[in-house]
Amino acid sequence: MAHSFPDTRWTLIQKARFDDDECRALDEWCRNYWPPVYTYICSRGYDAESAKELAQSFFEKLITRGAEESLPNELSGAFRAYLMRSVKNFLTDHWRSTQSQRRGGGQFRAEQEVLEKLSDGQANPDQAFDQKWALTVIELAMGRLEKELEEKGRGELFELTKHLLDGRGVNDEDRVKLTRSLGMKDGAFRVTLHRMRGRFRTLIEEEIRETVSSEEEFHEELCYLFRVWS
Amino acid sequence: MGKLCTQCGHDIPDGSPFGICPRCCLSGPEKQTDELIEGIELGELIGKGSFGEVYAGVVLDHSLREVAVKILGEAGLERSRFLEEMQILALLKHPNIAQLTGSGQTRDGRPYYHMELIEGTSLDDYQGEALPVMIQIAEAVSHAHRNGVIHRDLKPGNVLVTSEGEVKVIDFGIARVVSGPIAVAHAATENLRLGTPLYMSPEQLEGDPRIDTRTDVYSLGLLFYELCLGRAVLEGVVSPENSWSANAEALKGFSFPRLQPREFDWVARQACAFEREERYPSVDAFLADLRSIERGTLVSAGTKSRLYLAKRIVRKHRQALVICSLLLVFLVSLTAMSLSMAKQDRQAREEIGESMEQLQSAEFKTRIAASDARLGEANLALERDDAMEALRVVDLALELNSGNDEAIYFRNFLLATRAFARVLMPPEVGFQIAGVELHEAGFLVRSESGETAVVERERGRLSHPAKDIVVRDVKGLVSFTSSTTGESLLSPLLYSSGQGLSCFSPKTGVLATVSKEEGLRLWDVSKLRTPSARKVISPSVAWLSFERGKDTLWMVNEEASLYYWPSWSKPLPLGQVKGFGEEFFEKVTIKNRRDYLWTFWQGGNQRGMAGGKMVNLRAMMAVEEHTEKAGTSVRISTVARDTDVVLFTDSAGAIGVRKETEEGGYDFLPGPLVPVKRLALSASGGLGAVAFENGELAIFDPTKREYLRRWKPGGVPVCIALLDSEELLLVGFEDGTIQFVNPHDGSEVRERIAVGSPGLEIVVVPHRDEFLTRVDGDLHVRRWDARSGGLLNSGMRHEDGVLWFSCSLDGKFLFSIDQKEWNPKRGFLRVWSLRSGKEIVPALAHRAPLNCAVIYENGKRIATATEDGTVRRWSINQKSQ
Repeated sequence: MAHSFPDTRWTLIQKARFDDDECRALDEWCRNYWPPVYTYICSRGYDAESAKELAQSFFEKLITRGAEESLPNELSGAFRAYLMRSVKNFLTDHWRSTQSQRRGGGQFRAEQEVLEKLSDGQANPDQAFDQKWALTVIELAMGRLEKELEEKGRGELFELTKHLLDGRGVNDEDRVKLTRSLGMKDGAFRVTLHRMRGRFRTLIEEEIRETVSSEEEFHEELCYLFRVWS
Repeated sequence: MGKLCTQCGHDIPDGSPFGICPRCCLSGPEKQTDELIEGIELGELIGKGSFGEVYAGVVLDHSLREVAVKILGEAGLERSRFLEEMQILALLKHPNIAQLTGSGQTRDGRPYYHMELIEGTSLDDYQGEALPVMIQIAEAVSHAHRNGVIHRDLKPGNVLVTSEGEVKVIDFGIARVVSGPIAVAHAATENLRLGTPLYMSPEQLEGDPRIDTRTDVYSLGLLFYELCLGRAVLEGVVSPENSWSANAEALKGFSFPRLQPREFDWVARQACAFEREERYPSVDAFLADLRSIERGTLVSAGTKSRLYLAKRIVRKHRQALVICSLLLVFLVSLTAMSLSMAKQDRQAREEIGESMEQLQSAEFKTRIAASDARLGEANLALERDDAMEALRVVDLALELNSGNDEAIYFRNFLLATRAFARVLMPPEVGFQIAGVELHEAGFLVRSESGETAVVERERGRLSHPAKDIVVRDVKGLVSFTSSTTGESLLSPLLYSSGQGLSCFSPKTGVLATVSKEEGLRLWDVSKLRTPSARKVISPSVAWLSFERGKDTLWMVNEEASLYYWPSWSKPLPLGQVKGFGEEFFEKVTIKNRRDYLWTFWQGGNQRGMAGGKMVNLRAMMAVEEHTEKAGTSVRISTVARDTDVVLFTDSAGAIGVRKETEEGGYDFLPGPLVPVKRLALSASGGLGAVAFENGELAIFDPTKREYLRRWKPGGVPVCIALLDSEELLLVGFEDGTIQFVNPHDGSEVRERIAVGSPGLEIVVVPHRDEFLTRVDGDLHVRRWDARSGGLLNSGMRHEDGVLWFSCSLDGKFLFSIDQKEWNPKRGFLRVWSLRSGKEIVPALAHRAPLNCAVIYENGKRIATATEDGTVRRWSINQKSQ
């Protein structure tokens, strides 16, 4: 038998889409991705307060309305793409309902203006969503790393070296300061820093894996996120 | 957007947690480099050198030593060059050269090495004094030259200066090793123009293959200019965008800027002379001048005024006086201190001794590995018929490890099978030569203006028929081949980088060459030879053996004609040997070559036929007498590995043990006659085993000519072998299993192991409790531990299939026939190292399938006979050059 991709949160959602209880249990995890949804709504021209309210009701609807209704029959691709589609649909629905309430075209014009404004150099809503998504993945991985290190009583190490997690070089002066503060030898510090970076990288990959359903998708997603700033 | 990332150069987005670069966090998908090498934690990528990436790393032992680890790129195309770089580093031990600290293979099979991690700035960013740094660079390069290494890529980026002002020269990625003085015949490499144009010598820019140590002198001069001027002196003069020839031309007309003080100018100018002859002859001479500047004494470069000379001489003597007094003070204090320090000194020495031992052991291992890698390279060079390069590289392998038996064999093989041109004293001709042609007395040379001169040569003797020699000169590379076989008769000779003339005189055995660089040169090419001696015997030869201590080959062909072939003559027919009956030849010629090889050649006859011509003839006549009387034919012949116990069986099943008398008769084992499938003798000949066609096994004592045990095992035995110790009989069964039997009581020592079938064959490894196996269709030889029955390894990959193999007497080499079992079209005889599992010399390829092969005494002589009637023989004697 070919090696199968392990169950991820995303595959669990796919499997559990007719089971409300299961789906609700995943609510917490989905809410991890609140920031990109919020950013997306903001970049569609909503003010911060409305965006917050909209994001809140989007997640409530996503979960409480029940999986059967909120999730389509065919779930293909990454969770990120699904969430973006959903929030787009949600906003369209929301706009339609407000339109019918207002019976006017003001909102549409406002959106057009926002889009025009965004087009000169600023990230468009889709890009803003993706960029925030990538940062969220990194933050989630960082959060887990911090927790892991704290549990091992090495919270100080994380605190002092978290800005180095992207693999940047450390100059001699900084390294001497750091080793002194941490009471470590230079070689041991290098090993520790390298291991911490390795673990961080693994955690990022784990986070991404949670949002896809195959190894192939994982690699696609990793490459996709790497390119969201280019 | 916020700051720029120092690594990838992209903007770091404002919302990024703790200001880290998300692109760098997500870059990849990257390999988990920390798991790449066992025992080394890999850190950040610190550079991309030639052919690989360099990482900072920490050796995970008690020392936690920081190292720079260089790993060959995944493409691995430059493997041999990478290994060469590693070996070069292993050769060099100098405080100003980054030291090799270890090497090995990554988990994914790529070679890597690590060296001391140097924390410093490259010379590009160095702002300090020029002279002390320059002296250290020159000392490093001088050390490399003394070890036969030319750097070829000296540039600021390859020189690091630590915060203490210590210089380290790095990156020997395109360095070349030269043994002794540069020979014109030194093969040109395909990468002549590797390097950086801004720091290249004119000869490098011109693509001249004859790079020598003065090339590095030039680059050192350029570095000196740069240190003094603070910029690359050739900036704007040469450029990578320009063509090589344009750069070379620009360099020719370039006038170097004047340096201050004047000694600096003299030294740099002489180092950077356009013509090599005008430069310092060596880095040592350059270094001597740099030291003179440092001491304020006389430099050799430049033109000096009398006043300058006088000042410097006085200064020189004053310094000598100071040194003398200092030395005296030093000696007195040394004597006083030495007594009190003696005790501490002893302790320290012991500690140092221990660490030295560890270091030496690591170094020894590196040298062995490096030596083996060199041998592999030499093998490749010989495969493409570049014998000159092969010799050069194998000499380096022996320099790294003089006890490398495989390299010794390779060298002997090379010298025995290849011929080399010898340089002759160049004749004096008073003009520039534009043409050369044959003349009655030697050669006629002429100048552009029409002057002529005769270069006289005495008549010489060619070792190969002149009419069979084809001489080709392709752009300065002359090759000599045989018109009948197409084989190379002489290692190709390179005399020019492209344009030149050559003229071969078959009468004198001399080749005259004319090149722009070297003018007229004469080469003795009379010692031409084919890699092997060959004769055709029809119908083809089915059995052959060397006579002990002589270079004589005995052969029997398919018509049972016996031939005697001494090295000084053609094969001489001695008459018919009727004992080699039809049954024997059927096995060889048509039906089952493999079965024949394993039955008849299993014991091998590597020690050669003992007793001389008459004794051997008598022995054959005795066999004939027996077979004639019994109406049978010869089936199997076996010789003990270390003694002269000889067995033969006939088709009826009589087992004869040869008498050790001059008459050479045979004694026969008693008992009912059952046809024999296999015979085995222990190495000493003290114990024999036999597998009968009826499935029975027996153990016998050849000396007493009696059976010790005879029994029927569970299964049908197909092959047998006795360990050297005579404590274990290995029996291979038809079902592909091997049984381990105690020959003294017939008990099974341990459970059988499954190896495979059909065609299972077993050979024990001399002097070891190990054995080798093959089964039909195997491309690898499998090696087993006879004590535990465990598989040790499976290696030595063959192309067409492992048809037959036999270990050398000393257990160091394995000889194998690589040939398809059914319908073979070709055959290879391969020589393997049992130590490294690698091939030692290029496979001896045969255009027709092999009937049989014989190897005398650890490969000193080899002979093969092929189906098309060709018999080839190689004599590989210990030689030195």
